[in-house]
Amino acid sequence: MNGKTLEETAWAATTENPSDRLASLFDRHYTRLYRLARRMCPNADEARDLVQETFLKAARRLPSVPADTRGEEAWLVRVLVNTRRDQWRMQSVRRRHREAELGNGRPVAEPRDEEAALILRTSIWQAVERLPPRRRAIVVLSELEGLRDSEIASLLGMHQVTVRWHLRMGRRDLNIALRAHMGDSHEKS
Amino acid sequence: MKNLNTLLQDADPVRWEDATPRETLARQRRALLAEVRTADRPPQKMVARRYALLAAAALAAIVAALLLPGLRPLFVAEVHAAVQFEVRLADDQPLPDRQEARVTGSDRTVFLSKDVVVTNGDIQRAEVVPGGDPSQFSVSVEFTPSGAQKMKTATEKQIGRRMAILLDGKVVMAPTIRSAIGSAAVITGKFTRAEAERIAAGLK
Repeated sequence: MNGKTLEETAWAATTENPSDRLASLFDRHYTRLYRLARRMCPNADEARDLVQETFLKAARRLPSVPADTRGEEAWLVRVLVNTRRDQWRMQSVRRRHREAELGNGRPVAEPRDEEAALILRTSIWQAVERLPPRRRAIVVLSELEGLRDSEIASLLGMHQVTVRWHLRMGRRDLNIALRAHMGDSHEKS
Repeated sequence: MKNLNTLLQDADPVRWEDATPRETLARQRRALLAEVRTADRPPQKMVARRYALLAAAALAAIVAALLLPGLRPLFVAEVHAAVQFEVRLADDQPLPDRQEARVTGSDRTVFLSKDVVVTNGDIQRAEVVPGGDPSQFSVSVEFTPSGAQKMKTATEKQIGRRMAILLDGKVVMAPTIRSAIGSAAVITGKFTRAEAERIAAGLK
């Protein structure tokens, strides 16, 4: 921490004016938040909107954002995951209505490329997209960002046992999807 | 057959897509900062209405105090907050007229000035915020405009000295002043949620 104590860092951060503080939050955390958002959203545009929404929430509640780097990162990640959860809940309601109208619960998007590797990639990512947001965030942070259970627990403000449970359930769901994909591939060939 | 982690790494869209273009990033940053600047500035009508309300309230209070002697004690009665909050300048070295005090939870000793910079009356808002650890919480304090001015005046020429935050007479932190302090501060005292809530509620 550049030789500064936590309290010194905290105090220094509170002395900035709101615009400077927000600009510094944006510059320090945008890339990290975008990577997480992109792995939680179906496309890059939605991911960018999610990151922007997260920073707007920070702008509205700037005094609530902890002043130390680790604390502010965890705060932003939690807001991002919770915002995605709210969006996901609303989309789930709309999706259920649409599926009821179509009478078909299977995803309608099919990979256009016939190459097997691409189909497999699409299938596994579709399975990731079906995970509930918090579980998806935990799987992404563990499998793609290489964070330890304790680090994820600290970042998302939850107990390690809960993190491990979500990871186990997430991996189970992905393996089920993978086996189903393999079964389909064998049936087609 | 590849394992789940390898499959996920292969499927990760971040791996296959370009990073956010520089101009998109700059546009998002500008939009965000424009938003916060707009939010900082209350609409003119609201400002005028706020002044009118304040003037009416002040006038009503003066009339009530003059005409109804029975109400006077209500205006002069002292209200004690549940948690006594003070900010004072402090130094690491003993100087004349300084009060020695230990910073709670550390081995540091500071020497407090007798002059109090701000107290509970200078706080506009206090709320619990997450700390560096999930089990720890801090208290974010926003000062009133006059409180912020007192903090600024007291700190702008005191860079390098310490500023002590006291809760119920105990020094909970004494950071070094790195620049003039204005409208907000965070008390990072490694509190439990219950302690932080008690402090935030008691500060106002």
